[in-house]
Amino acid sequence: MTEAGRDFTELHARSSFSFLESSASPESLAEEAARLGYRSMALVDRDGVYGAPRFYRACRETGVRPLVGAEITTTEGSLPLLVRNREGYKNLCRLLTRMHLRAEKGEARAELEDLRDFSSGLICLTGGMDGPFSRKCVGSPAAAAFYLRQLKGIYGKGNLYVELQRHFSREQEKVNQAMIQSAAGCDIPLLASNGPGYSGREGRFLYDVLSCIKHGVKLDNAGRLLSRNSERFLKSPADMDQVFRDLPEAVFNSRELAESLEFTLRDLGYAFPEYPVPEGETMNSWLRKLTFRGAADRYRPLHDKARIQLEHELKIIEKLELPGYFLIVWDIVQYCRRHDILVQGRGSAANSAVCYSLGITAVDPVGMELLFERFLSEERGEWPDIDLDLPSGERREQVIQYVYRKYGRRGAAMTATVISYRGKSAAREVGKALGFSAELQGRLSKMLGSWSSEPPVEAGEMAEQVKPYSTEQERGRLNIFLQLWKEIQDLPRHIGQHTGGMVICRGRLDEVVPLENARMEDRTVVQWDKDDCEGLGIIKVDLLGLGMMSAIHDTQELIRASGGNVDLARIPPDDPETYRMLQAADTVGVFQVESRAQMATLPRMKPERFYDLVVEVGIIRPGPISGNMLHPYLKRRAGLEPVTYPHPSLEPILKRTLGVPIFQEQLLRIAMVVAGFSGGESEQLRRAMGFKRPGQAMLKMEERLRQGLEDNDIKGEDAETIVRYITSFALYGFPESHAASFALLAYASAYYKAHYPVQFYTALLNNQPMGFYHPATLVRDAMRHGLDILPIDINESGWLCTVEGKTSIRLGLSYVRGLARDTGLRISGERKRKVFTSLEELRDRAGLGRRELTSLSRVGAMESLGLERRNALWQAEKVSRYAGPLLRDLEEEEEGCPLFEMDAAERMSADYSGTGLTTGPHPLELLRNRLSSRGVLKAGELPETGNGKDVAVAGSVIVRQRPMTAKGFLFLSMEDETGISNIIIKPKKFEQYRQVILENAFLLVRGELQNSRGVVSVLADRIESLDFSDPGISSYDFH
Amino acid sequence: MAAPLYFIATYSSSADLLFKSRQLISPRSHPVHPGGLVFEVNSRYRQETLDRIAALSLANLRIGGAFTRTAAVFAALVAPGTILPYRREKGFLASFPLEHLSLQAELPAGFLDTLHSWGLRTFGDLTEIAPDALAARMGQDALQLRGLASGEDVSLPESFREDLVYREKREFDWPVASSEALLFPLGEMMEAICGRVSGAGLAVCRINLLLTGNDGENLCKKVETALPSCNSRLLISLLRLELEEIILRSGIKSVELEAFPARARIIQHSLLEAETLEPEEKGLTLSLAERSWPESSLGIPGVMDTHDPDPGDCGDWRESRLLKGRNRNLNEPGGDNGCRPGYEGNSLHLALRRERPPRPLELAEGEIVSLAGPWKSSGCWWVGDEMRNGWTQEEWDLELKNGELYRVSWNHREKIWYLEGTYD
Repeated sequence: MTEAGRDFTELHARSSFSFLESSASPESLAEEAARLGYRSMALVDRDGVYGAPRFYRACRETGVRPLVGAEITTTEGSLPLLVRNREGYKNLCRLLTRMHLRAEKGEARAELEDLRDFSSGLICLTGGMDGPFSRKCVGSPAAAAFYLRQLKGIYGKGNLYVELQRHFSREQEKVNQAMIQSAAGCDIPLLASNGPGYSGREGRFLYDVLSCIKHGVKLDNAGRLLSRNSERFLKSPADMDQVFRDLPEAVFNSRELAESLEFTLRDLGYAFPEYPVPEGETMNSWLRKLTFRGAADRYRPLHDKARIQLEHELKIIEKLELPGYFLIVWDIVQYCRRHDILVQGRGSAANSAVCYSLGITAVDPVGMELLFERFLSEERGEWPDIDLDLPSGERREQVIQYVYRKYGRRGAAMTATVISYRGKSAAREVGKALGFSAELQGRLSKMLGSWSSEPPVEAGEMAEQVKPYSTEQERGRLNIFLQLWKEIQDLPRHIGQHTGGMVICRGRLDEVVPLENARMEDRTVVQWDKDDCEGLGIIKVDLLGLGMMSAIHDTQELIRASGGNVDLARIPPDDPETYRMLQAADTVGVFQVESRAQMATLPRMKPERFYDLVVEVGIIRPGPISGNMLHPYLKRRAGLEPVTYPHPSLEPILKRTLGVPIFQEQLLRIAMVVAGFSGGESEQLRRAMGFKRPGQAMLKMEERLRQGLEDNDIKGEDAETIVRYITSFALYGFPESHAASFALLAYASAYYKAHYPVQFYTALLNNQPMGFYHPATLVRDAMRHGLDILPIDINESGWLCTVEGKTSIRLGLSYVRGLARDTGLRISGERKRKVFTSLEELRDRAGLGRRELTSLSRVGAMESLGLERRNALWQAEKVSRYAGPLLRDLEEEEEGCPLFEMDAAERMSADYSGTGLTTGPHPLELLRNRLSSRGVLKAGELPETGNGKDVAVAGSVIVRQRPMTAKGFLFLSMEDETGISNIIIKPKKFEQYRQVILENAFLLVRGELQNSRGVVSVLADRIESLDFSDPGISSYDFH
Repeated sequence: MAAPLYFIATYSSSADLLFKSRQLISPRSHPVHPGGLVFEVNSRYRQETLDRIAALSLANLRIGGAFTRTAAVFAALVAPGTILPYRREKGFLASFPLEHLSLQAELPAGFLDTLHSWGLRTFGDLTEIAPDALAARMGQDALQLRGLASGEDVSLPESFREDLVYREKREFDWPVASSEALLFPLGEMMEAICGRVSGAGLAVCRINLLLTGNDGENLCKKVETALPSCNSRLLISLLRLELEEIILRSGIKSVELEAFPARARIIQHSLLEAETLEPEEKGLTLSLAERSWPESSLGIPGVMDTHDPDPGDCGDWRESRLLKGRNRNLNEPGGDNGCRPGYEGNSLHLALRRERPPRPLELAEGEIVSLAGPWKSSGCWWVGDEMRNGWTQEEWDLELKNGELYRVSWNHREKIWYLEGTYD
């Protein structure tokens, strides 16, 4: 022993990324290791390196050397493997990948053969009491010795250690003695560890709860599944020296081994793939060529301002050695173009003129005066982030599969998402472990659902609130419950697949990070989330699915099919009709500006040009609303408030937004102009100020800001005003580039709605679910715009909705509930061959059963067979019944259908229950006479009614919303046959009418009309349910 | 021509009284779902029957009468008090919603949905559909339901099923004074019962012993067997224990045995099976034990599933409680250290004589030759409102100069050593 308490190194620590086998986060282990004076420590999580990046980051901050390993589940038990060098890391990743890819989730196991295949560069420990060696020691010393020799044969002498743990257990010690004897017999060195599952002694409580969750038991009857004592925490080296004072070599070996382990995640060896360029070109020169080739097409002509910007960007890209990344993204975009898949870059990439020139983004950052440094700068030291929006569904999958094909199954994968315990799930799981009844668990999870760190009430108050649903014993445990609930927050539960993040690698990705099967077929996922990947320099490309991209794509296809051609590039930039529609808030179905809040703002905003739309998209966000940017902007826009600037130097920057800071890019520019920041520095400032908890970084940046202001001769009150200004809106600003990308789609969708409504609505209906409204609302809106929505018919409808003539949309079979896609395609395929003339023919040719026949009959799809709905239902029951050979040809003597035809109300009800929408009259139309006699106005009459008048309005509730920013106000959108009425409900009224509002599909609201500057709403005073049987209308609630 | 039959359906919350008195009302009655009775009477005695029912003063009486059983039941359940004249059933039922069919029949899945989709809402709507057309679409079940909707009796009435009891009775010419003397006739009676019971492929699970004293005093003793048995000797032994407790003021004039049967136990014998005590005889042992010790001292010792170092438990002898509370695979790994439950028992070769309760101990230095420990355990931290509650134990194993081995524990709170046990 060299120095008291300095010999031991913990080489078998587990973090919460061992999923339910540890209650310690990687960060807490790193912090505790530093506090206890460890120089290094190994994180050895179960079957993965999930927690390694976070452990690495935390250790870097605390000065502990983070060693890498994983505890491998073998067919005989668990074996911890430690990584000695880069080769070992590659082998560990490939071993884990092989285990995971061939097994179901959670069932990964390694055979001895697998260990043999990937043994080089790895150190094997025999594991704790659940290791195969200790088990064999108990049963048969001879079998244990044989097993030890097998492992020695795999890993080689010097790479295998018999691991001893001491948790003050009589039984464990007995096994230890057997293991020591066996190790001596096989000449294998000993190694001490404590196998910590929590960082401090108090972590045992949560650890026990996690054991209960894992085994699906309660604490009261978990018995020996729980820990024997609280000794499995991260002990100090001195304590471990003391525990193993009779075996100093075991302690010494841990340190000696730790010092021989060379590998940390710093040596990950990740490299971004090189893009193959034509002969004679480098990646830099090729990117330059492509960029200027594209720029010549984009900027007609390519002006100096754009040329200078492109040169500036290319210089930085070259300096940061990123041309390969841009070329690879360009390649994906090219693939999309070749395969007629709409693609558009979003996010900060829209700040780049290079991206614009390469066709990755669609917004001209030079023309829009966007800030490249928000996207990429030398100072940031981070990889750029390019997000590509693709049509959701099959076309996006096609692009993902292209990336897999191009870079190989082992060269590309999706990033993971860590799903963690949060308020609701935390309450339920902890409650279950403490033995709470299902009802109490439900109550508590409801109570704590929206609180993720601090409970809203103390245990005592909580006990009072749940008194009727709990026993005395349960209430007695609420204090412990709350403590555990807080502790379990943010602990990972499992990993899932990120919606679109893909990482690619030069060579084998499975030598950089283990891969697993995703739940979706043909997808693999890495064990790290996007932040982990970003932190370790692994570049990702986000391939995100956007329903509106699909809808726009389909709209264009339909326009082409009808002889037109208006793709995105051909849309006129300032179309008056489109802006007229936007100003009137006629935006149901329009991307990003269709929500109730957007609709309420549009008439006040009155957008007249593209930048107005950018502001509209950016300002109706929780950030700008919480930052109180909305109302000052709208007032200034309406001329009700003068446009002022906090300092004259800010005028050029804030002029476009009337002196109100809305976008993050504005913050960056302010810092650049008034304090002399470089683009990269100002981005760092934004990030530092964006953190909710101010840290050292922010203090440093603030100091630098003040200095910069002083250097520019801005001092005293002026300087303070600007500092306050910047810090106050750093949290709330929205990225301008992002708003611009979305505004482009918003404009395009509005244009299509204004000029090609048939195609646009058809495309919207074929890409559900998407957007803010239910298809029933879209159909109503289409009808109000003069379109005919034709009902489903087996001899007319395809699987999807189709355009018929100039103003008609035929609903597709996809809207028939319970009809499978294959069946629908079979019907339309057969129909194209020859029309159906009878139910029997339909049954035989399309292979339909009773369920399909009755579903179609109920919604009136058999009308072209001359069968009214009831008649069709009557016949369907007969033709779908197996008659048997004896009766098959028997003629039935019948006098036609004895059933009555459906009346209007019945048809509407059948439509809603069978398709979720109706092409017939709106339900309110059937009540209109009765409603009119009670003085109830139609939604379409409200704009013509005077402000402040008491009115009554009724409708089917299509949206209920209670945004976080609205301080408890509830907003309802109600639809009738003439349009949509907006209802505002104050918090007190909501409490008063909660049940009526939440439980009824049709409401009648009385209150004061607010009709000002084109924005019409009713401030609810009395609310009642409409006497109307619910035909199954769906609303989009709290969406 | 004989008068037609009339049916009176009766439901009451005093169903026991109704069922017991049914013979007083009419010799022919049938049980009907849910918990009602239908009396079948000659239509001429309709009023008389109704009067008899009324005379019973049944609580919450719901009554209905019709010339079909079906219509009578619907009348009682849906429109209590309705007494239908001849051939008015169909008309009476026509307005009933189709959902009411479930009162008398189990409806096929989707049956109501289909009828509703056809626009049919009432019994009358259904009966309007031609039977052939209905059968062609919905099969024979639908025809039966259509019959019900018309008020027809579409199935046979249910009959009463009495509880099966085997009885033997002896009346003595002169009073029997001692229980020993009583055992002879009881033995014969039991043998006879066991013969009949086993002949029916059954076994006895409960016996009622009814004794009538010479002075008219009646006594009843109930004996439940641990397992169903046809072993008359065993059953008599159980009765003997009961008889020992009976003190009669006078001799016994008559004795009756009622034996309640249960399905006999099926045993698959095996050559490899060790010879053990007949399980049925455990009942006798337990009965003897119950008479020998107070209830609080009786039970089956079991090892609790806990890390508690002295996990003794005494469970109810009627339950198997070898592992308290939970049934799980003993080979699965344990909580943190993977220690297999039950491992302690396998691993220790030394037997430990426990001190219950542990007694305070003075440890003299120099006496101890070697020691091992501390062995720490703790648990139940979640019991109560603070995590510091629960138990903790810190044990040591000591070897003394004289070669004796002890298990001791240190109580942190009291600062006292306790002797937990001695190793043999």
